[in-house]
Amino acid sequence: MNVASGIVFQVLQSVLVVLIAPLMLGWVNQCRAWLQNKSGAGIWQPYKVLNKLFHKDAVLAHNASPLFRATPYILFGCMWLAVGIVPVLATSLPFAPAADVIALVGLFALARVFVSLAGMDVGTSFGTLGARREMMIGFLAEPAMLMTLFTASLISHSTSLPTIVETLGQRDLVIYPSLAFAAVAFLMVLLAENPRIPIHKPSTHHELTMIHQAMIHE
Amino acid sequence: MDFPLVRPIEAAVTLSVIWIGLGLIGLAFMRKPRLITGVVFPAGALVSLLLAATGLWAIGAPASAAILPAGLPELPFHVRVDALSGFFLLLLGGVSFGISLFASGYFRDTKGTALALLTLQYHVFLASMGFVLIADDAYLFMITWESMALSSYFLVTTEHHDEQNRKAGFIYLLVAHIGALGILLCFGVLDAGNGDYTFDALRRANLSGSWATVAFVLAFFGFGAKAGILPLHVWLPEAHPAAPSPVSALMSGIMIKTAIYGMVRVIYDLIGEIRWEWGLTVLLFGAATSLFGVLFALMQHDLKRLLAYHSVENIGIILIGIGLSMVFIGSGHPAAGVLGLIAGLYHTLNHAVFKGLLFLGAGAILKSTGLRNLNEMGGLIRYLPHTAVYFLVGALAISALPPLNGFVSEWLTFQASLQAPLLQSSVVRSLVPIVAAVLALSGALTGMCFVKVYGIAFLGQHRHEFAVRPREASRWERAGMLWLTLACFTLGLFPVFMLGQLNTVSIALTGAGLGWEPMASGWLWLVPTTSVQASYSPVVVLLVIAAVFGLTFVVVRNVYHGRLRRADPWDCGFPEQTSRMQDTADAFGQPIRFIFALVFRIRREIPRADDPHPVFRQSVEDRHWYGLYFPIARFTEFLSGHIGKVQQGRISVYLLYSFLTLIALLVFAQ
Repeated sequence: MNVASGIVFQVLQSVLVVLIAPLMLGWVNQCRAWLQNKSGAGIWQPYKVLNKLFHKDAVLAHNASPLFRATPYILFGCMWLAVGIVPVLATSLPFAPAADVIALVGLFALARVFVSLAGMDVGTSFGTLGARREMMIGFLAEPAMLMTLFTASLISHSTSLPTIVETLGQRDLVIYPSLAFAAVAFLMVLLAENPRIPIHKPSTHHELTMIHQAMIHE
Repeated sequence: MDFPLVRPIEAAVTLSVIWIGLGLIGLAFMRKPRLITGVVFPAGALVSLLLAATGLWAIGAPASAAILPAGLPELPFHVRVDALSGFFLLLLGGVSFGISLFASGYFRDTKGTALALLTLQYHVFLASMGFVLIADDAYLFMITWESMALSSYFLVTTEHHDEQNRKAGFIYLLVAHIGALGILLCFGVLDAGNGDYTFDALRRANLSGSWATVAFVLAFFGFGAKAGILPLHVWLPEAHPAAPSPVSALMSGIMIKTAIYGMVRVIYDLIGEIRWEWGLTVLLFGAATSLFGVLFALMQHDLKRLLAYHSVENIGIILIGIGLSMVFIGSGHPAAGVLGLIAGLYHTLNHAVFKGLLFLGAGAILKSTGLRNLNEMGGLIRYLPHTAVYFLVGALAISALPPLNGFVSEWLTFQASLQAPLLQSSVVRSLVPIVAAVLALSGALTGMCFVKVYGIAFLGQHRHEFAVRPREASRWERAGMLWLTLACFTLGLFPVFMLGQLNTVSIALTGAGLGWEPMASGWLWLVPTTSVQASYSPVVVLLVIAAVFGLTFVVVRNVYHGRLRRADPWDCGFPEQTSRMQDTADAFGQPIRFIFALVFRIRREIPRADDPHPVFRQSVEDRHWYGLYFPIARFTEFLSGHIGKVQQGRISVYLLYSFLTLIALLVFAQ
């Protein structure tokens, strides 16, 4: 693929994934409501919430430091870069050689460290509690995710995401037992990071059972 | 670059001798502390910078050797600078420049004899480390190794009024000498009975199979004692907190790296033929050390002890890289072996830089606030804003987060471990990914530990009422920390330059290099093997994050409104918020204590339910003291108690001993 189409796919992927992400959240919440026999708020609810929040003032605690102010932007930047390098629409993205799977995990770790630091910044009990628990989930889930990606890397002899996708996509349907194990492990990491039951209940309103929500209370 | 009269070796020797001279000047001007901190330490810093430049020059230049006129009549000192020595001289000079700048400001308030002696010991320490790196025979190596240990012992026990520091100095000197014994025996084995102890002769001596393994074991034991490998690490968490902060930075940043230099020099250069079994040993010890170090670091609430345990962890990571290299070279895959060696050496440099920075930050906190216990700190970002920024960079670097330097060396180590499918032995082929998993785990745990350190020390509310408002560090101290911070960024964003230098070092050492593609990819892309296999561009990562940061900021300010207001903290609606409601350092480590309880030796004292003054005590200790060191100490005492019975104290008994010895010699020495 030539450079122009690569750039087009890159821009398209970056913009589209960021725009569609709240839709995914809305869909999951809608399914959860239906399973509980409720009617749900609709799949467009996260967009409405975001719109409402953007029109509000930003409120900071008196003793919040510049790190607290910078963290949401740093987080968004890390995630946007991650969106740019994971092959969703195409594999020949110009940004893809900038970071491979290990750097991807490193970017997630960077985001997690900054959000934990922001949680500890104001010095409330729930902030530090959430930060502690978030880092605990993190230090267990991050190596697990790295190892599942390594399994794919050892098979395709590369850590570059486009190469892994192309290699595994073009092979015959040979079953690699290691990839099956890795898939199960990745599913568990998905449940831990997102977070879903049985690791955590994201709709909990008991603060002592919160992980991520306690940390971002402020 | 060639100067007709001066070769790297002359420059290195001259600069190291100037350091000794500066130390003596410091001793001479005992009554003028301002002169010492204003002139001697900055001059030492300048010498460091020149030594770093010499090291960089020596990497590209051919090896140069000289014979010094000092030493015994038949045994002069041989010195030599080659690419490996040059790299470590660059490390020594570059990091000690920042530390000496910091020390100029840090020691400003020390007066009198203490400062003069400190200056002498400090510069003799630097000079001995310089000479260790350029020594070309076993004799000079052992002399400078011992002087390095002795001068640092005196530096560690600077505050000898405190018994804790004296004990720390004792255990430090003890383990250092046990290690030196191992190194001495190793040189003896390498000599193969020739009697000539220059490194050239040691290189040429051909050792039979098992003697080579004996030499490796002795070298690993001896240099491992200085580096702080499990189980010889116990001196590190005692000695590094006891020393003054710039000295801790020197010891943790540079001194334990001279042990890595020694290991690489003996194994790759003097022994020459590397076996993959040795590599496996190094690999497994490295993995165990790194995991152990970080788990114990998470348990500490003393900032400098915590940083010392992290040094143990990072030595483990360096050994993982070197172990991988030895496994690959021993199995006949030199290209992968070179990648492992480069990863290990790059991490050596990175660790020196960010660990030096972190210890200097801890020193700045100690000087401004008098606090060393994390449980008493909090909210220091308001009093020490510059120190907070530098410490944040150091914390992000040691947690191996992109785009800083710690990530580059861990990335290279992972790339080396991913070459595992090349190996034939399936046992080793399956152990390498397990070691990679342990590396990932210790990296993640390091992140958690530094969230704890930074969050509790700098963020949050104050846990201590200061009588006098703490002042930010002085200009010299800030300059030293700024230098190391810039080094973190440079090594992280522009790794290809250092990769090229390390490629030269590995070609000089093993004869094999990385191949054409890594060097041809340009300064933007880090490509260790081929770009199809892996590539990383830290500059692009930083630029994208910064661009999104800026763009989002502008969009939120202009497209929406930019209003901001301050209010009381939410804290879920609770009205009261004291500083006691935050986590302490020990509280933050509770998940680790719970999950990894078997690794530690935890003693708890829980009060009874009806106790009117309940006190809850918990101590977390290292099992090695109880499992290894105390039994050995008790056995030694038992043995010496029994041998002591020989000393009866009566002259008639001693005359009898002489008589019996004479008879024995007459009978047996025919």
